[in-house]
This record gives sequence, structure tokens and C-alpha cells, in this order.
Amino acid sequence: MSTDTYENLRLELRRGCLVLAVMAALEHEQYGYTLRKALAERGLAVDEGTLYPLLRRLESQGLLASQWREEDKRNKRFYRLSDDGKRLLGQLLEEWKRIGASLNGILGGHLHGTG
Amino acid sequence: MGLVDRYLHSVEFWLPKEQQKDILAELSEDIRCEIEEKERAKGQKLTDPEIEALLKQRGSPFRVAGRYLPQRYLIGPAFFPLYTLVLKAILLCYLVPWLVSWVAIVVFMPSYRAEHPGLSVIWTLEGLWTITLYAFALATLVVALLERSARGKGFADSWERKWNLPAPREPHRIPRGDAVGQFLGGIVFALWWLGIIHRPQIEGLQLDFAPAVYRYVYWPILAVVLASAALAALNLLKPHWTRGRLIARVVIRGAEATTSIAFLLIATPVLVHVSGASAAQEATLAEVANWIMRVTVAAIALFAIGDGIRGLWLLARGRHVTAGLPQAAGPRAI
Repeated sequence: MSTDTYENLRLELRRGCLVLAVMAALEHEQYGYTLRKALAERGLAVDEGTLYPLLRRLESQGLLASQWREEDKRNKRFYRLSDDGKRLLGQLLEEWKRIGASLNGILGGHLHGTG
Repeated sequence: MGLVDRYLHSVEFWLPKEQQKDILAELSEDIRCEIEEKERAKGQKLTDPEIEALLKQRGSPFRVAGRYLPQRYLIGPAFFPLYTLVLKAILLCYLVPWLVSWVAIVVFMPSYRAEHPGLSVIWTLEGLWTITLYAFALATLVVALLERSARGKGFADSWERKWNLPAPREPHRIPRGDAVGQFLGGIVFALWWLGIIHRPQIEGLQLDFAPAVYRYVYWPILAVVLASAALAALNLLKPHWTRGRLIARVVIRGAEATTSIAFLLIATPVLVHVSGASAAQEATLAEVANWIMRVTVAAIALFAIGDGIRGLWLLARGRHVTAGLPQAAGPRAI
């Protein structure tokens, strides 16, 4: 199996999780750079070329709200989860739990190295 | 202008106009935050090479801007199978037969090779490449336009519905694919027959029909093909067999079979002339060309007879709708 195949599958696996992580992190208002740092500190490093287009997409879908504001004498764009985003996050978390439970059952043997 | 500004300026070039200002402000802020953080950790300002390394890590301006653009494609997944089918048809029905003919001439006719020595023989294919390129470009353009048109979207949706929700087939319904295929096939054949679509030219090779073809079957064949295309067009608009159209189908197929048999009765319908070839070589090529033509026309005659008989059977069994009456209840297949 080539490294490219692994990398593509890894990115595909991360893509869905990333949306959930970003939405959850934005329950508290943050601007892009601090959001990126927060995700990286929790082990989910994401480059700016992925994060900012994702934030724009979520905002265009009405799940995030943003506002330009001055902080430390510089203009920064702050994002937070909208009301629609909060509702959807709740639904997605339920789905995440269901998927997690199913996967634990399916992958049980593999996760314990006996698969 | 500093390195960061130059980088942002390059990114700006690729961004959509209406979002340029907003995206650049945010990107600029992100880059400056990262630089400040690294400077704090280092305890002094970053040097130009360090800033350059940091920007390189983010990727080229083109790549960075590309991530903000919506995903665009000329031909989407719904139409891609159709597109590849059309390209394969062009390849198999057009390019491959002509290439095989060309290879046969080059391999078996030393006089042809002598007339086009060395690599110059490749240039005898110029016309074929040009027409193939046009055909591919036209296919791409047509499918891309179909993709974009509202009707195209409807077609894609109906195509998806067909596979997602298979509906029971309506009685007496004429498959849309059959009507489209017969209509397009008829029109393309008529254009070719009239010489509006030119045959690809292999330099030195001339193919034509014998005078007897033009005298006896040329216009009848054209009339039958146009009648068949007209019936297919009508079937496309009103996709249920009626008594009148079943009769028309039987008559047209009968005429097709008759004209095909008349064509087969002509002794040598295809004339071949190859510049520089001996009479014996030309006779061999003519024999091959006529054999291929006879097999093709015989297949058309057999299809016409079979389809005509099926039309008669449907008529005899009353397998048609009565014109003017509403259709039997049932979901539409597409």
C-alpha cells in the first residue's frame, strides 16, 4: 500500500471528525488562530488552508456567526456557534455516539490487537 | 513591500474578487499571529529566511487560494459515465477502424510506403487526428453544456431516480434510450450520407460508392433513414406505441429491409482507389471494403426484418394504447 493511499484515507477519516471538533470548540467564541492552537493542543493539528475554508463553509450554512473586532490593536475575526449550529451539534453528537458504539463493536478485536 | 505582503499579494491574484478583502484580512492576521508567537518563543524578531520558511510551509499562493474556491468541474459524476461512453464510442467506432485500415495499407502496400518514406508516413494521418480531436472536443462541449443546463440537471436527477427507485415498467412504453439512439443515429447517418460530415481522409486512399448506388438506392436510403429518425423523434415526445405508429414502424422497417437488400444486390457497391497501388492490390482492398460493407448492410437488413416482425406481432396482439385515451395508472419509470 502506498503512502499516498494511507494519507488520503487518513485525511478522509479526519475530515468528518474535524467538523465536529471545530463546531464543539466554537461553543465559546474564538478567532481563527486561537482555534487552530486549541485544536492542536488537544492533538488535532489542522493547517490554516483547511481550517479557514471550513469556517467559511460552516458560516455560509448558517452554523457559525462571525464578527470582526479589534483586540490587541488588531482586527480579528471572531467565530462562534449559531443557534442553528448548536442544535445541529447536538444531533451530530448523538450520531457520533451511535457510530462510536457501532465501531467499538466492529473493531473490538482489532483495537485489542487480536483481530 | 515585506515578504508577508508579497505573499498575500500573490494569494490575492487567485481569489474571487468579492471575497478577496475578507480572506486576505483573515489570512494576514493568521500569519502575523504565528510570526509573533514564534518571535516571543525566540525572544527576538524572525529573520527573512525564517519568515520565508514559515510561508513556504503554508504552501504556494496558488494552492492556498485554491482551498477557498468552490470545487468546480467541467463534467460531474452524474454525467461522467455518459461522457466516457461517448468517448469510447468515438474511439471504437471511428478511430480504431481507420487506424487499422491505415496500418494495413502501410504494412501490406510497399508502394504506399515508397510514396511516403520514413516518418513522413505519419503525416498521412493528419486528417484523422484532426477529426478525432474535433470529435472529442465536441463530445466534451456537449456533455459539459448538458451538465450545466437545467434540463441536464433534470436528466441527471431522473437517471438517479431510475436507479434509486426502480418503478414497474409501463405497458406499451417506448424506452427513451431506444428513441434517443435511433433519432441520433439516424441524424448522424443522414449527415454522413449527404456528405455534410466528412469521412476522415487517409492520404492517397479514396473510397466512394459505385454509380449504381447513387442511381438506385441513394435517395431511397436517405428517405427511409429520415423517416425512421422522425418516428424516433415522435416516440421521444409521446413515448407510448399507438396503432398508427406501430403501422409506421412496420412500414419503415419494411422499407429499410428492401433498400438494404437492393444495396446488397449491387455487384460492387464500394469503389477503392489507392494512389501508387497496383490493380491487384486495389482489387484486394476493394474486396475487403465490400465485404465489410455487405456484412454491415446485411446486419441492418436483419435488424429491420426482426423489428418489423416484432411491430407486426405487437399490432396483432393489440399491444398499444388508444390515441387520445389517458394512460393506465402507474408510476412513471423516469
